[in-house]
Amino acid sequence: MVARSHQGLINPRLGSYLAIFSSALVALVILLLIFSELGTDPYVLRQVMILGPVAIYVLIGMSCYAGETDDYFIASRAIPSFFNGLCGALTTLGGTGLVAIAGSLFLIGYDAFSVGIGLLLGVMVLVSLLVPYLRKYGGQTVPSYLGRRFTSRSVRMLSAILLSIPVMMLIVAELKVGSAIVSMMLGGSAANLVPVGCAIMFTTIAFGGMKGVTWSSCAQGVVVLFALLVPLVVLSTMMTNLPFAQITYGSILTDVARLEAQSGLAARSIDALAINLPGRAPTALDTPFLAAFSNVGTVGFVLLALSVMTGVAALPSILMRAGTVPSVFEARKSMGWVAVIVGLILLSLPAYVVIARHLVLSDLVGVTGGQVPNWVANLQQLGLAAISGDVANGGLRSIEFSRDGALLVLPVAANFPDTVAHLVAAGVIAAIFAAATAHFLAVANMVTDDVILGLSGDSASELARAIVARVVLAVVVTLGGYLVLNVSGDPFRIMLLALSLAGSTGFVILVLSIWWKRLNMVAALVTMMSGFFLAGAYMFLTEQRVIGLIGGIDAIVVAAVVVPVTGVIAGVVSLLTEPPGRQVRDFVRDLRVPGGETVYDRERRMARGRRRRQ
Amino acid sequence: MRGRQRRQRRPYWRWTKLQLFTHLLVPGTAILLAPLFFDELNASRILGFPLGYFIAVHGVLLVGVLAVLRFVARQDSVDRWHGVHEEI
Repeated sequence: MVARSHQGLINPRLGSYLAIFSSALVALVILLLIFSELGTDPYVLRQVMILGPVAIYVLIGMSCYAGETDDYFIASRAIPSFFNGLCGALTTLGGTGLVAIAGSLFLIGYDAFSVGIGLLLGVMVLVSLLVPYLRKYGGQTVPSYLGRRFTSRSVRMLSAILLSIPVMMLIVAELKVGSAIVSMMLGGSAANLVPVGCAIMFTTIAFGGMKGVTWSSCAQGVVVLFALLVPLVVLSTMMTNLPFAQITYGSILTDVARLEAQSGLAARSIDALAINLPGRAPTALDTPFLAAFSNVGTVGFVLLALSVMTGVAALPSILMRAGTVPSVFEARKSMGWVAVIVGLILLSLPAYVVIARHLVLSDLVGVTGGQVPNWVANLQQLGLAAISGDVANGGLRSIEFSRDGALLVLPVAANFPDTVAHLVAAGVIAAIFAAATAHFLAVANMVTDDVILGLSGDSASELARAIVARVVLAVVVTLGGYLVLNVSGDPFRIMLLALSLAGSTGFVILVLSIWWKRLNMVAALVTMMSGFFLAGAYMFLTEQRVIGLIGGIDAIVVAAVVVPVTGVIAGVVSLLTEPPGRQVRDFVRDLRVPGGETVYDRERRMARGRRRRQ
Repeated sequence: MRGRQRRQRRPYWRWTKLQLFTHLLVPGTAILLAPLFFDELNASRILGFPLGYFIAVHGVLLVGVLAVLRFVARQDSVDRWHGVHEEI
């Protein structure tokens, strides 16, 4: 029996910490409700609701100081599966995903659910094809696994550089949504808010690395679930007498369909490949909620889901979570929790959105010559709705909703106290915080471990690693902030492009490196490069309108086409070149068996022993 | 020793691959294709929902989450049956 280090020792008080944080959140919301009744300045209440939780995240991050590099990179493998799953779910969905899936569901109806299906499929692929095996390897980053599997430093460096690019795009998307929400709530321009936000995130990550990110993300997970479920449960109890809107909104849906028919919204038929997701500009409700394939064609629907699936499965920010749990079984279980939490959120979003649509439609449809409901003015004041005509008589089409603010339509249109709307905004900010810190850490760790220290081998001292990791993190956060301010575009589209790019680059070699022993180094290099450059070039050329869409394939689903192509490339190149050596085959066999010591830990121990003997 | 280990692993890996078929390919295909029958099924109703919508939202999520949870439990029993599980 190998003597175990302190790794894998789980803090028994975690549940109490979570309970304490949750009660503090509930107490904060109740306190703010009381103060708003007492007539305190609404701006102060708003600031407390938005900034209070953020201050706690930063404190949690700072209190988890990582003294050792194992703490910084893999949280000493001491995260239980539930907490790991909670953080993983937030990273999978992301603030952009939460806001934009809800907004698209609200504006175009069921078609936007394609992205949600893609996320769920991605989790299914992760649990069965990748995560247990990456946990058995137990490396600090994904590229370090690839480098070891193909015994090649160039694969390691190249994959680190290529996979950083989609993750940086996700950071841009998250921070864009985040700065828009904060500036809506507290005022201020993006140019001022982004540097402050980046500094806050850097403080949260820099002390504890993976440990700090994980524990602060757990707090954020509580806020997200609370913010999403509280308004839903309250309204559902008011409308259907039961608190489970997720399974009882059928009658509301029927009502919505009736109101939509009354206001003249109708399904339309479009090209099977077309994907018309709503953009950033305010959009009027145009198609009924139940009119499937009116904005996304049938083939487009399937391709979008597949493309998101490959992206989620190849995303380093989620895959690096594989190393933080104590065992392979816990790694599988944590993906089970990811599926449960993502499933719960995806089940709640349509209910949330249908109720919001019901509130909007029942106040606007069939009202002639009456007065405009006062929530319209509230939405307009928040910048969430634009009015282009006479709402009182023109009805539905003269009011346009902003996609990223659709989550706030429900509390405002239901005439809830302002604190509830602020709670929803705080939930969105929490989701953005969790996803952005995970992405920042993923990029910084890949650059540190695989690009900079990868050059000098793994012989760098503990202190050098700790310092380099934080310096690189500072550079990455600064670069992220710079990009957010200088890249324009729609965050949801950037997120889908990033997932597509990540899938095209990494999906094939990650899956085949475990499931096909014959895959060799040359094939890995060629596959990664061809996937990245095919997808990247297509995205660049079509987004810049240099060329039109080839065969009608939208750039956001290019992964669904590129992945099969690179799969064939990987097979052909691999079979034409030399098979990998016996050592690599034994390594893969070792990965496939859950039992035994973590490969990375064993190799590091042996390397240390060798160095000591010299 | 090495040869014996390898003989033991072969059936283990066969079962693991079977797991993929039953918990990834079949439910994955079902999830991907179920929404395509949206309009055809919407004529009937269940629990107050149109049937096609119910399958495309609740059904899809239920199948996906259950497939993942079932996979986690089944794969652990496969590991234990073949004696390759972790000892903690």
